[in-house]
Amino acid sequence: MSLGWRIAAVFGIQALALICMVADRQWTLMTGTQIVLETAPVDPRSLFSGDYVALSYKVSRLRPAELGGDRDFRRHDGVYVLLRRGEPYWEPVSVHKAAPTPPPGHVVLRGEVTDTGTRSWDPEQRRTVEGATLFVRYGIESYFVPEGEGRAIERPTADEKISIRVAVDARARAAIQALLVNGKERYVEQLL
Amino acid sequence: MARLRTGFLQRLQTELPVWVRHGWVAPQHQQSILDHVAHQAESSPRYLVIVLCAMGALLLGAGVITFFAANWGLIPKAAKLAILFGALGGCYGAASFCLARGVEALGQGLLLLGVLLFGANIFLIAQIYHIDAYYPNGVLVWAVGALATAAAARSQFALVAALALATLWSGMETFEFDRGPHWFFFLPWMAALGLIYRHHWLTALRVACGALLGWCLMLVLAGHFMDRPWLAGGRMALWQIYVFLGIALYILGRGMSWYPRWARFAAPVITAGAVWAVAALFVLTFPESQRFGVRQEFGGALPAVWIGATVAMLLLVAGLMAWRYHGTPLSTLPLYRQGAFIWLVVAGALALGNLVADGLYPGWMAFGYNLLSVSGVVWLVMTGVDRAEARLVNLGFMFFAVLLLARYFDTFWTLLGRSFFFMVGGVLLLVGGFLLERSRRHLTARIAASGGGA
Repeated sequence: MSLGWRIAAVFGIQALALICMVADRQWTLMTGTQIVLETAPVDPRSLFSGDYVALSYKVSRLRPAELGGDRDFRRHDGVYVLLRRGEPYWEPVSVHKAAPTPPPGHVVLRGEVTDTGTRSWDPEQRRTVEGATLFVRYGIESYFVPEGEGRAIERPTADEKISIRVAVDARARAAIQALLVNGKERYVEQLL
Repeated sequence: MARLRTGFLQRLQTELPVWVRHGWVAPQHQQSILDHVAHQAESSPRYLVIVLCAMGALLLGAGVITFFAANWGLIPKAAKLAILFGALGGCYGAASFCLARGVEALGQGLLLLGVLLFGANIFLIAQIYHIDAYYPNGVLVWAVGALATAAAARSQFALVAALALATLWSGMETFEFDRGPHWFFFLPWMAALGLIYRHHWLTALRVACGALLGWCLMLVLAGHFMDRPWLAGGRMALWQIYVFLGIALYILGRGMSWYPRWARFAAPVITAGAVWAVAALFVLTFPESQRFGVRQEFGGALPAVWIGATVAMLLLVAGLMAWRYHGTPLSTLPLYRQGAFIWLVVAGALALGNLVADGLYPGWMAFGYNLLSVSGVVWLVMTGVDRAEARLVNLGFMFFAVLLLARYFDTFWTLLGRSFFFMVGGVLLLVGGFLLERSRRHLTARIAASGGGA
């Protein structure tokens, strides 16, 4: 094979890897069930990527004792969270080590346990709550916004409530569809 | 290489008439020799051009990334993807065009730019789709892409980038995701070694040796600063193992030099082994490095794993020494090389004794390692002079100076008044530095005169 063809093959392989990344997310966005998650934005700005909002969700901090399903999780374990439709936000029902079959009106969201603890800070009650807690990442913790706008979303005014609309596909993977302020779309992801 | 050839050409122009006068070279061959060397100097790529092209690729890549990062929000998603794929394809297309027309340095620079753009594209697509996944995987994909470029386009630049990325990937896994020693690092590393062997890439071999040592260092740093449970208090044990790992690499390098197929790779392996052995010895010369005992984290029991690993490494060194000196009567060796056997036995006994003592005698153990370090460095300098290898002499002098400085700070920081400490230190540095540098120059000049490389 000539050098030109070999370089073309390298480009083909690398382009294929990038297309797989794009296709994976597009598929989730196109086929996923739409759910809305309650958020608590924290800590903005990435040097290389313009502004972004670091998002923390209510379902990022789970207490298995208050939910159904499995209890014994360790750091870096995979976790499946069964969510039930609520108004306006979807709520966790149970946590599992293996993917459960969701009943109607439910979805399963896959995450990874980033840490475990015996107590955690509850921002709603503004106090430390005793009991085993799982800290979970779902891969939807960053939302990139036009430069200069990250800090405004990061620190909303008292009457602004930030939430995220997410598409969850059949593999329990999630992709961000829209950033909502007081339930209204502020940023919406278009397909291509 | 081109600069060397030009220097060689100038030397030949001076020397050849003398050789012809002495009858060592036939007069009719004089011009043919000069033409041949001049042609080689002209046809080989010039280092300055290669370095400028590589720097140009890096700067252009950084500029492209920051430009699009600053204006990213204004560009529609489809246009963003078109820009990313177009830039990658255009870059590889331009590289292919240049290489096909013999513009080697620019072509290689563009291949490196392609590798950088591939990495930028991974993270920019993650940004476009708000992917906040397990980010070391992004670096892994980038490293594999760089390896593919190196293999397909025979690009040493791309392989150097792949090795750096594989080390970065392993560092992320080790420091940020706490999954124990990251053995998967050796998959891309071994693949890189295969390419190095195939294409005789010595720069990439030096980087591969550096990556291996970097991986070893990350392991011990993760244990030191992040208190990883899998290291289980074995920091001192690990440094002792690294001493013998360095020695094993050194002996392996010496053995490689016997075989025509491997000889060209020997020097970087020897240097990496010597650097690592002396650096690990240096760490062990501090009493503080001996105080983190293994038993402290095991409730008084001495874990078999560290004893086993140390013994395995000692056996490896013993096996390599047996291979190296097989069929060579020891009495025929110079005295200092016979001394190496005694040094190794003492070092092995000290390492095992230190494990058993387990932090009980940090001062004495550090004293023992100081003696081993000084004798090891002296041995390195003698080897460098004997074998006409100036780099070993330089290495030995450098470590000797660092060792002296460290001991001066250790010993006199608390004993002397601060102003006196600095004044004495300054005088010692000036006088000692002058004497050391004079000795080093004298020895390296002797080596150069005998035809050894610097």
